[in-house]
Amino acid sequence: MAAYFFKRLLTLLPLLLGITFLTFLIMQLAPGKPTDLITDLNAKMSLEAKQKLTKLYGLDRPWPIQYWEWLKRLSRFDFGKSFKDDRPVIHKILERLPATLLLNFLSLSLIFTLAILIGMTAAAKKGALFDKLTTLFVYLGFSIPTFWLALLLMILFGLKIGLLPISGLRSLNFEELNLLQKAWDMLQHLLLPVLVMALTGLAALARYTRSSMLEVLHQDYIRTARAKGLKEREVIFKHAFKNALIPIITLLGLMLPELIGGSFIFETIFAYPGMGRLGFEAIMARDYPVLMGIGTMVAFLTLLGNLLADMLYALADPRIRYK
Amino acid sequence: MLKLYIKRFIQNKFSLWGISFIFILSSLALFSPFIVPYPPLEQNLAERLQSPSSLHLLGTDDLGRDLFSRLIYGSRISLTVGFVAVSIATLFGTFIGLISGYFGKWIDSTLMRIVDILLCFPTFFLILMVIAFLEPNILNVMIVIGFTSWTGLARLVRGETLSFKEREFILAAKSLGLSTPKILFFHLLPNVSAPILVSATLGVGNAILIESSLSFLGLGVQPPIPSWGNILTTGKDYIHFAWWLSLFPGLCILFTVLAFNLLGEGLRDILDPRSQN
Repeated sequence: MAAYFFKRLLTLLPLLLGITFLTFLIMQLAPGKPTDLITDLNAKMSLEAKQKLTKLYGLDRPWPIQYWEWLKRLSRFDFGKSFKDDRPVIHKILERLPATLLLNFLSLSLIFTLAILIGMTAAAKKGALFDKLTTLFVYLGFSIPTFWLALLLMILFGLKIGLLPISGLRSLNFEELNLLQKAWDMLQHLLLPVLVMALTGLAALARYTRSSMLEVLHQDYIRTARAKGLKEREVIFKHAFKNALIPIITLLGLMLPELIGGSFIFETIFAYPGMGRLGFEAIMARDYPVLMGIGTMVAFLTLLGNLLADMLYALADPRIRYK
Repeated sequence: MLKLYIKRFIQNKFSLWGISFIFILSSLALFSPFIVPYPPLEQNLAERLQSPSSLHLLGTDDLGRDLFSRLIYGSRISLTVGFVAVSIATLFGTFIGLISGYFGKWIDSTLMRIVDILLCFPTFFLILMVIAFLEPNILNVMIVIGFTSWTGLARLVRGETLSFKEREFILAAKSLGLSTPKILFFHLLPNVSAPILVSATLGVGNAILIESSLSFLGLGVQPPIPSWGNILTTGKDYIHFAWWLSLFPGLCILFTVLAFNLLGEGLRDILDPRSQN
């Protein structure tokens, strides 16, 4: 298992490099310079001062050298300083990261528990009303613009019923609450973002679980299990589920980038204090160092998720490890 | 064969609904100038933020523009972006997939590593970054969506190509001395066209969703040009007083994307050789 782990780890390194290079390339190809924002607002700024500013940020050198310099600093976890407020990028990201991880972790947990339940039930009762409703749900989940759904839910629960807060992660009086109340307060703030974020993944996974289950239920060993008189419940949960689970784990790794990509839009809509909103603000302000930092962090998280999925995969199916 | 497909298509209720909706929407988009009761850009501040009535079927926005007219015009944006972006993605993805699968070796491994990298990267973040650095307008939106959504198709086409390239008819074409482009485009391509068609149809829905998200965030189609996404931005600003500005554009997106998804899934069932009996 350890050997397999390190083998997988090694294959991920070039991927990480490739992704950082891609992020870097996009920003270099973009027209204009980040210093334009500072200089354009200040008409008195002389050409000399502009050049000084460019030199300060190292923007006057060719981009392969800039990339190399950036990689060297990366190896020391130094992402540079934000153009906006001159604070170290790593601090800005680290203070926002926990909120994003929490949001993504909760969404992922919700997706997995609910989707597997829905998918399995639908497969077990193929053609029944529940199965048809599942199909309808899947189609809607794929087709609904999730940012619009977020808007509707904000109107419904936040404004019309007034049941849930519609922005941020904490109430204004958060500091005065006791531990239990604090947890409840955060949960209320998280409910809508988590639900909206999970929807598309939920639809995808429920559908995938259903078809994976249906395929397994046709296998000979299921017929054998039934023939030897096992209860249907045991057949489904013990024999079929374990085998259907294997392809489902693979989907976990593939779903992660989409989920994290969703953070950027949903955190912005819900004014959620996470890395996604930081990234969106950095995009708007052309804050290159912050963007590069977030791009790397996102790539790192996705690859970590992929590695985790690989490990779970090898754990669930011993045949994989020896291939 | 074609007869069988047409028969199956008519029997498949979902795809029929899908294609009917798409047909109606395309006609509305094509003939919008003759259908809309008001010019979509005409402001009338005396009638701003009016709720739906017989005068303004779906109400008016913050500048007194007729929402129904703007939504009809918005369908032009959505459909154009959907079709152009998907055309780019399909051409590019098919080409890469064919080359990768047919030539194999280092070409295959290089191209597939690039695909791996792109698949690892959150597409939406990538699109946001590129669009933010370019000027946000409809052309850039189409190009960016197109060039970020070809990876899945490239993998699919590569897989299919791999399974076909050792088959007798390809070997026969080779031994007859046909040129490589001829083999690729006249002998391999027709055999992988079914999954490409399905993927393209589903892709249109996805492209429409991405465009509307971008326009909603202010990084897509810019006002005053009406797009379903940027109308929703206004809806968000007037969320307290004007529910119609939030509800109707979203429904337009939902039904349009649903129609393409139904058609795509229907086509998959119809064209899948495993369901042929």
